[in-house]
Amino acid sequence: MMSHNVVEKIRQVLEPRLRKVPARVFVTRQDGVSLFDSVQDTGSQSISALVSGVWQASEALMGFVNKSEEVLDYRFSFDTSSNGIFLFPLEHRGAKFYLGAIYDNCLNPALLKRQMAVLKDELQTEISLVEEKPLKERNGFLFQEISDAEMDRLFGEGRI
Amino acid sequence: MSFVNYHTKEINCKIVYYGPGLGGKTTNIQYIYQKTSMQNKGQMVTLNTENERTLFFDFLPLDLGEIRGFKTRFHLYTVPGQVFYEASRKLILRGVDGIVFVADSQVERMEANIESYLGLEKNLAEQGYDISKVPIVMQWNKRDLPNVIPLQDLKSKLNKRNFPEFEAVATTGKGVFETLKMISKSVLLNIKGGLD
Repeated sequence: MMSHNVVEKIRQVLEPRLRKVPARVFVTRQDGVSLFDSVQDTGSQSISALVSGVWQASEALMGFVNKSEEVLDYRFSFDTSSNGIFLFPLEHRGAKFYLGAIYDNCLNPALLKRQMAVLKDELQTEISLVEEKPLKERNGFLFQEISDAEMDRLFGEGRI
Repeated sequence: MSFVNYHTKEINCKIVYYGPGLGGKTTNIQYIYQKTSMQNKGQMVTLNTENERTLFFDFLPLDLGEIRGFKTRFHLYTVPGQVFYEASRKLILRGVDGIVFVADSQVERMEANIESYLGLEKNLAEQGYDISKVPIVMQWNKRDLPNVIPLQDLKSKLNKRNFPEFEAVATTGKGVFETLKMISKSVLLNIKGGLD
């Protein structure tokens, strides 16, 4: 279980550094949940789902030829000389997630990639220091019951 | 696994539409997309083959609103139904919080329904899920066609665990939101971690 502390730490580490990074920078969980995105728009969730899919598919592809390499040693890259995407895996107490950058018309992608690699190392170090409240301290279920009226309200009010 | 941020009071849940090829999984998601207001949905992602069969997955993020002060976000995925995409189905099931099994009601698709359901059981077990603890809703789709299997037969062959079930005609929207509402409720009720 990933807590608010980790999400907040990701924000604290990335936000001050974004000025120097000429790319859309994001962090997404393995299951496609967006944890951070430097651009707030409707694309965040879709980017996270696709990143999760592309990483897991790549991991499965590598499984055909190499079953021994540690997943955290991999990077993912899909690029031309000025546009592209790359991803780095991160880990926090067994939970995997990905730091990524999407860039367009970048003058020096190699420098950007280096910046992201440094950022990944910093982020990994910082989040490994985050104290987590163990899940067992939150007993039971979040909701004991939900009425049909509450579900109707959730799906109503002009949303659907 | 659902992601609950207790500080910002946000809940993220993953719902997967599973079932045999051409059963109507993508049609369900497309109908939901069409009928949801712009501010409550993100971009729909579809990864299709040339002839519009699902190749990897469809994805639709839904921001529905608040329940007891928690903002809810549902991530709807479909799996590719064709039998040879088993590896992709396994990947998409990772981290799933709830499943809608979309069965094709036509007589000639019964074998495909059973094969797909058995695959679901196997894939969940392989990933360490206990199927009796995963919220699942059965949808009997294509009920408008002439050659449909009687409901009792669908139930006896595919729903021995007595999951909630709905008749549907996804092309017209019949049963689509009823199914989504039921799986959403089941998923929310299954989120572990009570409030302090």
